[in-house]
Amino acid sequence: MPAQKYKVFVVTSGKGGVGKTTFTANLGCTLAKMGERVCLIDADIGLKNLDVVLGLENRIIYTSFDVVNGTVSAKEALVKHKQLKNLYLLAASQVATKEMMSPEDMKRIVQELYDDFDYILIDSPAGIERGFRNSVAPAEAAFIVTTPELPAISDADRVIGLLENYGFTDEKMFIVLNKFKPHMAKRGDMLDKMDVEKALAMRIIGVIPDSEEVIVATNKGIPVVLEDGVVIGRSFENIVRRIKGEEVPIDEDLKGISKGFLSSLLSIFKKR
Amino acid sequence: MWIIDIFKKKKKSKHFKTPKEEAAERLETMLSRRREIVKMIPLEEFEANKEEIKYAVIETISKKFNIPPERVKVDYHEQNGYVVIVTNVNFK
Repeated sequence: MPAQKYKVFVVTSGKGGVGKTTFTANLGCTLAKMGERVCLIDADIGLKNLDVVLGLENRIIYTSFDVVNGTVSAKEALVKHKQLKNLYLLAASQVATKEMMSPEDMKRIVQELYDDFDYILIDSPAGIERGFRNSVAPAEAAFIVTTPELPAISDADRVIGLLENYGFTDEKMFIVLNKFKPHMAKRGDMLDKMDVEKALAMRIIGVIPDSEEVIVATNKGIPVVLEDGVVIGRSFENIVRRIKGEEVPIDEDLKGISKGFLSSLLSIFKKR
Repeated sequence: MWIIDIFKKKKKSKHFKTPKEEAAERLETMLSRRREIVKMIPLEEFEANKEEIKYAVIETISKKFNIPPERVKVDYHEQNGYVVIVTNVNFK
């Protein structure tokens, strides 16, 4: 997988609510857990959420807007994660608007941080307007997050077309199938990974199963991959392994998801 | 009688598509044209091969919709130096 060559990734989707921010936070944490120096940039100015998912909302002093204004440097505006000392966040301002920043501003910020990190992940806002253009400008490769639903896939296809216009080739675009429900796909009630791959004519880099644990973790301000014994963590680890060039079968992402009769029965007793 | 009804219902449901099949079909329709490159034919090139091109369009449409070729009418006009092909299909 050629993704190992790239350092700056944009996480985009077109459609809102597919899990871009949660994906960015959890992928960042997984990379940091594996010893990489990671910087997460929230490009959703005005509607920022990445700090909330990471549980860092109370630690923000400066935002990317302060960097653009020249109040502080990009490095001074970074917030260190509480648990992972090699994971940093450049937060977005809640009062500024996306139009207050330009693609050139984003390029300058990324350039300043480039040598200090192994990976820089930019969390793009939904839509294809200025916020999207700002996020894409400094990126070397893109994660396109989609869910197995028609509106999300249709928007992902539109975004792929736009990214192609920005010069992203197929080798620089990676589809992430999020909120996948294997039991529904098995029943014939939901599109499966093959259908999505066929529709977008692009290889999927990871399948993330739908999980209630994500909601619980987000409420606690702890990315789900930092919780002990969560099955979903395996999907993120596999994505990282694929980014680094390892050949990991996609089916590995869903191992241990479908509960057998015995484990379902055991989980009832566990809850009690 | 209710036993027969159960079998009837099961037989009937076989004719319906699953939500997945329906979604895959709709998705294909939605995306099939989206990223396709629209080929622009210069007027001179079209004039030289117009009968051949018209026949190819008729044949493709007749196969696609499973209708006889005589129900497909193909017309064309020039716009900004390029050719716009207008196709009229009679399904009845």
